[in-house]
Amino acid sequence: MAGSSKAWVLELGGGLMAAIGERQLQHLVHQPSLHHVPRTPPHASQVLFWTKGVLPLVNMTRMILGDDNSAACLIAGVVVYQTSSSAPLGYGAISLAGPPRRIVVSDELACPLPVNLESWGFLFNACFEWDGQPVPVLALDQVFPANPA
Amino acid sequence: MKLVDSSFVLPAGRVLLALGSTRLLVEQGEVRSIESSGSVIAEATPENGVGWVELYDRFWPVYCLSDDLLPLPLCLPERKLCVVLGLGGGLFGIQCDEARILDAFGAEFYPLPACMRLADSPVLGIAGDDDGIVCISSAPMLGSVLGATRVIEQAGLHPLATGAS
Repeated sequence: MAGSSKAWVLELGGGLMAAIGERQLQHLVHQPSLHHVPRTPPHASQVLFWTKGVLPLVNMTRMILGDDNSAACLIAGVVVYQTSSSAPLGYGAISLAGPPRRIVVSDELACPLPVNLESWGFLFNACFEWDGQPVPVLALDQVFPANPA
Repeated sequence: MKLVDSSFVLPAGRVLLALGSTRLLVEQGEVRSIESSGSVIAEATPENGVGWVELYDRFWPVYCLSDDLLPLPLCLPERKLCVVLGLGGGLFGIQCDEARILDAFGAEFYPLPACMRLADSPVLGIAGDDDGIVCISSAPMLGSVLGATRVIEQAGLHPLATGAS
C-alpha cells in the first residue's frame, strides 16, 4: 500500500486516544512502580526506573483534559524519540489505560485535528481517522522537551 | 548511541534531609549548623517562614516545608531539627525530621526531566535507592524559591534580625 506506515494506537484514558510510530514504542510496563517527585506539574509528577535510567511518566489525559481522576496508571508505555536526526535518543513514559493496538495507517486516512484538541496542536504532528474517530499523532519531542544543555 | 539526560556523579560529602516523605540531598559544605527546632523563635515570622534562629549574633529566617516542598505557615512538631544552610553571606534554616551526613551515595543521579520542571521548584535532580526517590537540591535553589535571599538582604531592617526586640 503506497504511503502507508505502521503505528501504535494508545488508549490514554478519559476517551482520549493518540498514535505513535511503530518504532517509537519500546516497552510496556504493566502496573509500574511509580515514584512521586515533589513540586512538579500534575501531569508529570511521577517517575519510573527503567533499564536506561529514570523516566518521567506523562499523563496525557491529565495534561489535556485536566482530569484528576486519571491518576492510576495501568500500563506505562516507554517511548523513544529524537528532536532531530542528529540529536541523541530520548526516553520517556506515557500513562496508558489499556494495551496499545498495532495498526497500519495510510495517507488517505488523514483528517483534521478534533476541535477540542486544536489548542494542543503543538503536541501533535498529524491526525488520521481510525475506527470511526480521529486519532492524533503524538509529537513526542514536544511531550518530552529536551533538557537545556 | 548517546542518551539524553544521562546520569551524573555527585561529589562526595552530602547531607540527606528528611522532610516527611520527601528526602532532599544538599552538599555538606552548604550546611553550616544543625540546631534544635526548640531554638527557633516563632515571632514576627518572615515571608514564607516560621521563625528565626540566632547564630553568630544575628537572626536568620527559618522555613518548614511540606512533603511537596511548599512553605508551611507553622512549625510541624515532628521536625525536631533546624538545618542551617549558607546562602551568599547569610544563612537560613530548614526544619527537618532527620539529617544524615553521607560520605557516599551509591545511586546514580539524573537531572530532572524538562517536562517535570517548574520554575519555582528547588529540585535539580533525582535518584532512587531502596527507600524510594531522593531529590537533589542546593542552598541557592532552596533560598531562591523560599525567598530567603530577599529576607536575608532585608534582615537588617527587621526588629528580630537587628536584635532590637
